Order: sequence, then C-alpha cells, then structure tokens
Amino acid sequence: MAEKLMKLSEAVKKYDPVIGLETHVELSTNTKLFCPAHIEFGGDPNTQLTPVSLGLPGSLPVVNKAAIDYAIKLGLALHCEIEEWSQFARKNYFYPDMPRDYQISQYDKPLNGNGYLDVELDDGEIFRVPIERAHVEDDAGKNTHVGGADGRIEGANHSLVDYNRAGVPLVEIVTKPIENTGGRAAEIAGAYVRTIRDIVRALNISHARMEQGNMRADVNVSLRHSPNDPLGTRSETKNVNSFRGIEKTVNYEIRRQAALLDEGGEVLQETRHWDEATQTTAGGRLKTDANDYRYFPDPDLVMVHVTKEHIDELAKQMPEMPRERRHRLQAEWNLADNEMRDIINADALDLIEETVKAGASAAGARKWWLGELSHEANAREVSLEALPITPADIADVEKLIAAGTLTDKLAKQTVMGVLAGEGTPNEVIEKHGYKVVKDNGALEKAVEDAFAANPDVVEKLKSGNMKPMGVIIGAVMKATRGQADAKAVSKLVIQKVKG
Amino acid sequence: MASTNELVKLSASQMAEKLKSGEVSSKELTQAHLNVIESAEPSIQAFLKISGDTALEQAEDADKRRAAGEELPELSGVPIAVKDMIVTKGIETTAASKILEGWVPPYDATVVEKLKKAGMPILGKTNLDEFAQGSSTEHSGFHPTNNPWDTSRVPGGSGGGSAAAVASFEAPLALGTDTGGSIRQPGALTGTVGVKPTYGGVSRFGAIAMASSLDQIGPVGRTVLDTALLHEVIGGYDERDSTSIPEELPKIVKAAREGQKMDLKGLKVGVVKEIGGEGFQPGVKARFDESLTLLEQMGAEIVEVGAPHFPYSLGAYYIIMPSEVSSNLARYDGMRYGLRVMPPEGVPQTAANMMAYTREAGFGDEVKRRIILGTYALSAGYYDAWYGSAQKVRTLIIRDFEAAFEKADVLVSPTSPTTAFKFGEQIDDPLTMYLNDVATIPANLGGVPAMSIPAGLSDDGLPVGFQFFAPQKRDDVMYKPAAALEAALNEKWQAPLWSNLKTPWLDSANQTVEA
Amino acid sequence: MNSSRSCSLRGYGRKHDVMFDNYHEAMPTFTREQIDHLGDLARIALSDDEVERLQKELNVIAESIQKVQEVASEDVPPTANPVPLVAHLREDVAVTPLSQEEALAGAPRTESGMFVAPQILGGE
Repeated sequence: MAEKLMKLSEAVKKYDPVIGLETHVELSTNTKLFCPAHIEFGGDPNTQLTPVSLGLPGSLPVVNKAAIDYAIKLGLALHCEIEEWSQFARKNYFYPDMPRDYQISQYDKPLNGNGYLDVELDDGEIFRVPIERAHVEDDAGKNTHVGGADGRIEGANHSLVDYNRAGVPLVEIVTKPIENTGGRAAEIAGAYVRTIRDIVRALNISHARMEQGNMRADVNVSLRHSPNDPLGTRSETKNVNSFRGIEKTVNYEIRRQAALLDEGGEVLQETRHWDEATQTTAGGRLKTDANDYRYFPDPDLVMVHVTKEHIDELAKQMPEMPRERRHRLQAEWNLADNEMRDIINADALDLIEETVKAGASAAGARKWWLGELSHEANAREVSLEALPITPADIADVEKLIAAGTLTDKLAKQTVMGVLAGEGTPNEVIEKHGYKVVKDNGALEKAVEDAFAANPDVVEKLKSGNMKPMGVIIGAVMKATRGQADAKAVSKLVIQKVKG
Repeated sequence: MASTNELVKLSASQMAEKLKSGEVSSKELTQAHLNVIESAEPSIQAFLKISGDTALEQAEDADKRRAAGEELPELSGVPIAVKDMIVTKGIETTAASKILEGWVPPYDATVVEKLKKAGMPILGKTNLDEFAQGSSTEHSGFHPTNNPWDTSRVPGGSGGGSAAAVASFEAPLALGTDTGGSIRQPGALTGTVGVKPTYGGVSRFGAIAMASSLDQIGPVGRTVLDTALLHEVIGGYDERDSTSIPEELPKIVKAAREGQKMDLKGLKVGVVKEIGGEGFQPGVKARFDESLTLLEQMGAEIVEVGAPHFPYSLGAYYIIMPSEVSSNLARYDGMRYGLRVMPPEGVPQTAANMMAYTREAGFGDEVKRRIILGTYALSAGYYDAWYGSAQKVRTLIIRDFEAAFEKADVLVSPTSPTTAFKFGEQIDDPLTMYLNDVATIPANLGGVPAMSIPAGLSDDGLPVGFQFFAPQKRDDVMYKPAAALEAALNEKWQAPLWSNLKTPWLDSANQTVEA
Repeated sequence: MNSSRSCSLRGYGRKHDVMFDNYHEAMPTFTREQIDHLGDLARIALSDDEVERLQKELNVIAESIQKVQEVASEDVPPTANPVPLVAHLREDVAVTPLSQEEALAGAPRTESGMFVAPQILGGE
C-alpha cells in the first residue's frame, strides 16, 4: 500500500515546507542522571542498576552534577539562555521499558531556553536554526522483540526488557519551527543534526554515535501554501537514528504530504516511523495515551539552582567550536572547499584529524579514509568509525610506506588484514611476512632469472624497445611473492639492459 | 530477675538503662517481646511479618558490641517494629498490598540502616492501610488490626499496626509514616505517642512513596522521651533524598528531658481556632480543655490563634495527595516485581492489558479511588483548577502557620475528632473517613512537625489524643511542652494512661526471664 | 530563597487533547465515560460495578474539594515542596550496582537475564 508521492521539485514549488527537530543526545557521564549506577554500552543486561534506576519501591532520584554541567555546556554552544532555576517534572505514561512508568523531564522550566545554531550548508551558506529549548531528561530501557520477523515489534510474541539504559541522561534539543528553507529543508535538517553531533563531540559530553542510539531525532514536517500562511498540520516521525534517515524522512514527508494536500486530503497530526528497509515513513501504529501526560513538578526533586558564577566558569572552559575548527583544519591541510566538503560528508573529519595527529600526512590520511576505508564501510553498511581499525593503525601503515617498508599494494593488504581482525598492522605484516624485498642480491637474482627465462624480451629491451618491461617486472614480482618494490625492480632492469 | 510483663511494660529509655547496667541483655529483651507478639497477635494482628530469628541475631550482635565496649547510642539493644511501608533488605515488604506480595527488597531504607547501626533489633513489619491510604487499617490488603483498648474497634490508620504493637506491649518502639496523620491519628486512637517530624527532617529514602511532598517517617512510642530518643536515631540529612534538609537536627532529647521538669514559664501556647468545634466529640473536647489547664498551670500562656485557610486544607490534601499517588503507584505494573495478572480469555494478551488487569486485581478499592481521582486532577484541562489551586492553598496554609508562630511558640489542637470507631462503621463512606484527618493534615501541607500524645480517656473509655505543632525545623520546640504535659497527666492520674488497658495476652506470655 | 519554594506551574495541564469539555470553573461531574477513560489512563481494568461506584463517590468527593478554588487567587504563588530547598547535586561517582540476580529476583517472568513483557502491540 505505497502512498502517493509528489516529485520533490514540484512539491517545494507548490508548498512551503516547515520543519522542526527534536534531537535527543545521550550524555557520556560516568553515572546515570538520577542515581550512581555506572553507564557502559554493551554490558550484560540488567547489570547497571541501582534501586533507583530499576524503579524499586522507596527509591528516590538525586540529580547528577556532571549531567547538569554537560547540559549547560551544550546550552552555551547553542547560544541558549541558561536558567539559574530549573525544575524537573514527571511525564506520566505506561510503557514496559519505563521503570517508574513516568519519565523525569523538564517541562515549563527547562535549563536552556531560546538559542540558535548556525549551520553551514554544502555551498558554504550559513543557515540559522532557531532553538526553543534544550532540556535534561532520563532515558528508558531497551526492548528486544521476540517471535516476530527481524526483531520487529509487529508480530512479536513477547519482548525482553533490559533496563541498563534506563536513567541515562539525555538532553533534548527542540528547535522552533524552521522556516524559509526553500527547497533545502532536508539538507538543512541533516546539516543541523550533524552540527550538533560535532558540537557534542567537541564538548566531549556524548559519544554521539548514531548507530548506538546515543543520538536520535524526531522529525516534524508540515506544509503550507505560502510563507505568509499559518503553519500547517505536522507529522512527527519518531526516533530517526541516521543522518541520511533524517534527510530522507524530510523529503519523504514533503512529497507525501504534498501529494495528499494536492488531492484535497488532510494531513493527520500523528506519530510516524522511518522504515529503513522500505525507505518510507509509516504512521498510525503506536497509539500513545491520547497525549495526556499529566505533567506535574516532581515532588521528589526540588528546584535545581546554578549560579551565574558557575555558568561563567563553564563558559570559560568551552573548546573551539566545530565550524571554526573546520576552517582551521582546511587551512592547515591545504585543502580546497570541495575536498573539505567530501571529508565532512563522509564523516571523516575526526578520524582524519586523529590520523594526522598520530603521525600521518594529511593527504595520506585523507586518501585512506575517503578511499579504501569508505569503500569498505559502504560494503559493510557501517559508519567509518565503526570499522575495526583506528586512526593510529592507519598512521602506522602510512609511516611504513614513507619508510619504504611497505609498497602501496602491501599497505592495502595490511589494512585489509587489520579489518579482518588479524591484529595490529605490525601483527598482520609479521603474520603474512609482508615486507618489501630490499635485499639487492635477492632482487638481482630474480631479475637474472627473469632475463634467462625471457631471452626474446631481453632482446627487445636491448634494442631500445622498453614496452615489454612489464613482463620482466611481473616475473620478478611473482618470484618475490609481490614483496619487491616495483620501482627498484625497473631501475635494476634498466641498469642491466644498459650495462 | 525480671518477668516478661515487667520488662515489656518499661519505657524504651528504662529498657536502655537496664541494658546499660547489664541487668538485662538485648537478646532477653527481644525474646520477651517475641513472646508477647506470639500471645498477642491472635487478638491484635498488628504484624504482617515477624522476623524473630533475625531480630535475635541482631540482639546478640548488639550484646556483643556492648560487651566489646563499643560506644553505643542510648537505644542500642532496644527492639523495634517497622511499618511495612518502609523497605527492609531481606525481609518481605508489601505496603499491605496484594500487588507487592512476596517482594523481598534488595536494599534497606536509610532509617533501617540507621536502626541497624544503632543496634536496634527489628521485630517485624507492621500492618497498615494499603499503601498507607486510609485512617483505620481496614484497607490492609491482608487483614485488619484490632485496637488493644477494644478489639471490636479500629486502631486508626494508616499506621494502625505500629500503634497497636506499641500499645499492646508487643514492641516498645515502632516506625511509622505520616502523610496526612498516619502516625498521629493512630497514636490518638491507641493511647500512644506519635510524631511527624519536619518534612525533610528524616530521610524518605526507602519509604515507599504515597505522596512524596507530604510523606514523612516518624517515631512511635509510649512516652515522649522514647520517641525523642528514636527521632534522634533516625533523623538528619541524607544525600540520597533530595528533599532532606542539609542541617543538623535540633536537640530533641534535651528538649524532652527539659519538659519533664514541668516548667513552661515563658512558653506561649496557641490554640488553633479553626480545629475543633463541629464534628469533635464532647469527650475529646473535654480532655483537650483539661490538658490546656495543665499547660497553663505549668506556667504556659494560652492564646487563641487564627489559621483562616485551615478549613481548605482537607480539600487541598485530597487533590495533592491522590495526584502524587496516581504517579507514585504507576510503577506497580506487573513488569519488575510483585503481582502479574494476565487478561482473561478473549481480551488481547498485550503488555498494556496485563498492566491493567494486574492493577485491577492487585490494588484495593481505596487505592483505586485515589489513583482515579489523582489521574483526573492532573489531566489535561483540569490541572490549573485542581492541582494548581491546591498548591496555592498550600502556600496559604504555610503563611497561616508562619503568622500563627509569630503569636505563639507552639500550636495545639485535638489530634482526632473522635475516639476509635467500630470496624465497618465508616468504610463505605470515604468522605466521613477522610474527615478523621482534618486536624492532622495541615501539618503535612505546611511541612511543620507535629505530634500526638495521650490526653486521657473519653466518656466511652477510649483514648483521646492531644496534638502539638512547632515551626519547621524546630521539632525540639514541641517536645518540651509535650513531655511536660505527659508528666503532668501522669502525676494527675498517678500512673500512665496504659495502666487502664486490659492486657489478657500478657498473662499467657508471662514468663520469668533470666537476667 | 523564595523562588525555590514557589514552583512555576505555567503551562502544566495544557496539552493537545482536552478530553473533558464540561470544564468552565464549574462543578465537574464525572460521567461513566470519563471514569472509563481515567481507568485507561491509569491502566486499571475497572469493572462495571467499580465504574458505577466510583462515579457516585467521586462526584461527592469532588464537590467537597472544589472549594479550594475559592481562595486560590491569581496573586497566590503555588508551593510544590513545603520546605524551601535547593537541589543537592551529586558527584558523578559510581557505586556497586545491584547484581543481575538481585535485579531480577522479584520479576514475575524473566528470560536471558531480562524482564519479560507480553506483546507490546496487539495482534491483528
């Protein structure tokens, strides 16, 4: 039952899209927002709990100072007004992954209000995204669905709940309606969330790995005929957890809603889900409790007070922001705009910077991450940083090439070995005996053998026809199992022919 | 040599003296109380769980610590009963609800940790109205508790179990929780002393939440000094409770001892005009007035104070309390602990329906009534009119207290409009039941400390309570006149009130205990 | 200190779907449908008898508590917590967690170290 879609170019010509984003960022504090349970990704289920995060009777929440400080830093980076008095409220609804059956969040008194974020688009244009608020709340546990296809909730027979994630601090960043996007709504949405990712990494307040759920976004889209009209009815697509997914959701919703409105239909205010498999959004399945969350101030928590002095102190600790950093690195690495954009689009900036820091040249690092490794990541359908290889590994390989210890070909094989889990570059090299044959005696012997086996070729070479030299080099390579440096071999061949 | 009867009728502070002098060991004292529990329970039913073995182990440990010369708090070795609203590691904790039946907590409440540290053996867990919601203990999910003064009558509630256990000599001391009067009203109805400390004066960590902004753990005993001693054991700042006051407790025991000197010169006692009058039994009023006379005779100046917004406190309470209840009790959903009931055949076997049928089966009528009322009060469109208005009334009550404490050092009123009523008398009439707490609720809304002490027997031969209020964080201020009034009444009666109590269960429990 | 005592209530209770349309400062009267709906919100499968009884009782209770509105005027700030306090902010230091065994000990059903929920979405 595919829904009707209008062509994007036509849709944005006919309608003015307005988007809104609610981005959840998991903070990388040592312990949870309201209890001293250690947080670790991938631990055994239900082993990161105190009576508080399991919601046991009698347990009480106490606010983690680090979570508040992290959130203030994020608020500062988003140019928010940091409130000296903020308050936690309860959002009441039942769900199996919620240990208390209410979420503790901030409602009418959020920590950060009213800010903006400047986002740099592909063509270098700066687009200002207005921010409504960035408040602190706790995460829920995780459900694993059993008995349905592909671990999906539909058709599942039952679900298994791991509460390890319950209580992990989140900051929810809510934009104001983002208007005047023209045809670039999707691009702006993607660039905005990427920028937030870069900021929280620069601040060192989140692991910010989309695929681990450290970041996810709810995407609101509505259409109207003209920018002068009031906002149209919006759809809300929940928990989109990749940059591409966010962009595609925006475009899909624009096209779907445009087709719907064009037919005289009405957009429903509903919760939808992005389906990676079908590349569509689907709506109307998960019924919430009629949206009556019965918010009220959490009586177990009194108001949070942060002093002006403390906020100033944190402001002084703010690191370089991503856009400034990008401009600096582009200059340092001597890259053209389009080269830098490729790096950004491939999400390789951090990796390349770390590789350079570990001793590689900028050009070398860039070549690896945008070439071979991007290819590999695409094939595996994972992000670059999820590949089982570190910037230090790449730097090591680069150093070996520079020292002439590895040929390009051997370097590639070494990297493949690391990706295959065979160990560090040095371990891979040792295991396979990858080493450039530099021993001139051995090389000379191989060349002599090749000469002896190919007298007709030698004849041609001597007569000045260098075209068939590849035959000799090939034979030498074969004899040395590819570990000879091709340049050294050709030098030797020329010497011999001339000598 | 002392008999069980002689031992258990001592006050906790007298027991402490005998432990200190070596006249009796904690193990003997604990065993004596376990003997009384065994013979009294069939008629009183104050306990949901008796933890005799661990109590005796804890008693032996307390004896060892004393023998080793360890510096111990005064109440070390004195056994205690704990309301089943407070979690105890390894001892089943149910809040008297079927929905939590069988739950054994993996942790101790802060107050329980403090009892253990002080070396006070825990005799068991006492009965209550389910999730502390009720004023008669008839709403317990398991069984009612009988009033030791007349077993056809209720002991009050919700802490009827703790009050009855202390009144019947099953325990010298107990812990209670007080959200709208659950320590003080049972105290009044059983002739015992019950204290609700300043909100935030005793950690709530490990007290199963009913209404978080009103709940407070407090001591239950037979004398003012005993409750003061226990108050100092359990009180003080706790980092694990965000509403805990980060300050030193006032000198409570000192104030109680001061009061025993029966000199109240310079003390202004304010009679709250708005509490009393219609609905208060003549016998309750008579005892109250006699106590006022005694306070005056000890040198106190009696003044009348107005608290014009107190008449609105019951309404505000019945909005704030159920609102918080509806949220606090959401976690009982059949997922992590306690009861799970799957939907009947023909109903989709979903998680949502499992929760709904579990909660339908696991909660009693009164709890459901409050959850529904609270869900309504917080729901969209009604919040401002209900919850918002109630929180404003709360501000007005706090202002009333502040103004009253400018005119008087302590405020006084009867604790409960009536003496103990018969089983079933009010159970079908929630509104009448709610009126039991009309005198106790203002203290919870205002966060001020308050306590009830026995003021004699009404015409029906049943105990009457006299209530003191003090300003926030000044719990010591009420202990002094309370101890003075207690001493004056005992002097007048030539014996404590409990000497009038018939205790047939003690006859069968009486054994000689070797010193 | 005053700002810590009085909490703001601005915005609470204002959400998209207002289910009860008879509210205009007037006496609320509970209908059967409302009690049913409240039962859904509170996840309690109330029986018909209970709904009927609650409807009567709550109307009586509501009438008596309605009078708080007489004195809850605009100029009175609300109080959420009776003793004015500022939140204590805890240092970010971990404690020993519950063991998996302790965490699961009270669970009605477990599987592979996890809590079992019946199907979250109903079948067709």
